[in-house]
Amino acid sequence: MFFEDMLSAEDIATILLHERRALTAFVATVTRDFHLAEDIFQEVCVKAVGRAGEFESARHVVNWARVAGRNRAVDVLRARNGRYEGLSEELLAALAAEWPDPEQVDAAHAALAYCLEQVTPHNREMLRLRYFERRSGADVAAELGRNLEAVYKALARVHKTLGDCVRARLQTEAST
Amino acid sequence: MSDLSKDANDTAFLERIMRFQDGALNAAEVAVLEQEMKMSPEKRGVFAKVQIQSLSVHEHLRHEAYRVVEPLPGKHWSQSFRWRAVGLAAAAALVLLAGISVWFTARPSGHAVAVEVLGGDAMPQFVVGQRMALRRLVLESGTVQFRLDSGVVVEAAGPAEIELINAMRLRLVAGRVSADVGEHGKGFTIDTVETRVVDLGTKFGVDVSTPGRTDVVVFEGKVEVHEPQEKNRKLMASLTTGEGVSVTALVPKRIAMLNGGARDGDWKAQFKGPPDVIADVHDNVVLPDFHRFYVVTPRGLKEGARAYTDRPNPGWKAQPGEAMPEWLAGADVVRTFHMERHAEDFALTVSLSRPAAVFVFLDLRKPAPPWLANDFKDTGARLRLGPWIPNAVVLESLKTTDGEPGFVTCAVWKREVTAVGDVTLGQRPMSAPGERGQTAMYGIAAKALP
Repeated sequence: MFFEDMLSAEDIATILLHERRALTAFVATVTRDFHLAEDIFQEVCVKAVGRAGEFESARHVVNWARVAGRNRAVDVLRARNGRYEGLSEELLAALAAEWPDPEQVDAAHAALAYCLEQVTPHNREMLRLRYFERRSGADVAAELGRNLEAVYKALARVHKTLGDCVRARLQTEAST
Repeated sequence: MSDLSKDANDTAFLERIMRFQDGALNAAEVAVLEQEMKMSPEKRGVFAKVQIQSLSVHEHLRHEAYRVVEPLPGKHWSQSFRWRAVGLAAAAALVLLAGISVWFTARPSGHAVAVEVLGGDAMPQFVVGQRMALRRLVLESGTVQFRLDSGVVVEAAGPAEIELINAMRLRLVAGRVSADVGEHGKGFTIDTVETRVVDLGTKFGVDVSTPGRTDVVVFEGKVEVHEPQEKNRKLMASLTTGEGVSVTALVPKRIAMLNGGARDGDWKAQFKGPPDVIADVHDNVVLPDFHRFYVVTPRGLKEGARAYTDRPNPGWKAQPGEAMPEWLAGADVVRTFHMERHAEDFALTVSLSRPAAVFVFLDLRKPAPPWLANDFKDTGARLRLGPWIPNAVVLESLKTTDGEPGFVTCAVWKREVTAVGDVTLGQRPMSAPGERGQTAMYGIAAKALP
């Protein structure tokens, strides 16, 4: 049954499109694989649109999508690996409650485009192998001729550097 | 958002997140990470920010890579078919979501690889003759067959996920593929979590449907199965026509039986559905590097049904001018292997899932061995086995026109088995010392009793 004050399929699609990056990053907290997280986000979108008339607000849609995405991701991992060894439902709920807004996520994403240009070629190659080619830390270490510990440290350092850069960039933009 | 630069002073925490993303934390270490975040809202904020930043890095690098790829003529592969399940009521919403779908088209890692769709039953999502730039293929069901620019023809059977690295290499993430590498595809490589499979000119298949396990089978030619790691990679198995291994934790084991269809691409090493008549086939051969498999094709006995896993041509045919007997046609049929590796104490066991008539097709030139004569009866029916390549050793004692393919005549022996269980067969009749020619390996079929 459809009620006039419930969200239409178009409304739901618009909300999910707006929340795409934030939701996908949240699902990746479970999958630890961005490609898989993207697939699951897409599945969740299809299901949500198919439930038009059941959501009363944008918050309702987003909360439902987070739970549906988390559950689907756990199911996929259990089917693929025979088990799920990740963060607990309790912690995922706490993270979901504090997850950044899509406006913040998209602003940081835009700033990161500039910051990635500042990364050294070597670090850029490391990021490319790890986040673009989906290579494991061990594979990245072998490819770059480094040990695994050094790769984790280097990735942590690059994330910190990028975080500093994004923060500075956003502050600069806010003050101009 | 939480301030990553401020909170990231705890570099050990950031490094733990890197390990977590990599799946490198054990259960106890995940528990420590979890406890840290439960106790600290700031660390939860840092974690969220690193996750989002990682996704952003992933998206930026992908976008950059995709910009340098030359688009191919025709439509690009899209996963938009998934949206079709939603129905017309949501059509308007899907117009908005199409933005996501197009974005996904450009998603997979690495440079796009040119492919041409050849066929399959995952149509009409894929159009025969369509060329597209493809980096990743996610097939939820059905099959699709495509050709790479190297000439290699790949058939994927859903559910499957494939990453195309280049025209000579792909990574199989999930599901099953079969490849026919053709003349120029020697060296074609399929990576899985457990193996690196390198083709040496062949038709072969790889299946990773079961987590932690890779099945590799060769239908024609030769492949090498290596360990997967980049450094110190060792050869685990070298396989030829009719051989297969299942690799778990770097240990290759013989695949003794496949469930197969009429085509090479239609196979499965792990049979999960209800068996027809023949539930299993195995032998007692235990030899180093012995990897030969049998193929069971449910209801597969028909004119020309392939007889062996290590010979592509010989098949079962009715006598000239006759049809295959009705009581025999449509039986489950077993492809055995012809290669002379059977010891005197060879035993082949066929497990039946229901009462059935078991048939053995024996080369008529030899007397029935005791294991056959004692338990089976000659029905009087005869099948032809062939064609064999001209001048094949197996034809030496037969009068055939030189240079013409020949056929061997086989007697159809039958045994009615009224209980579910195993039927054990023995060695085929062997040639005496100095005798010309070779005996064809027998065939096996089974049909449920009425």
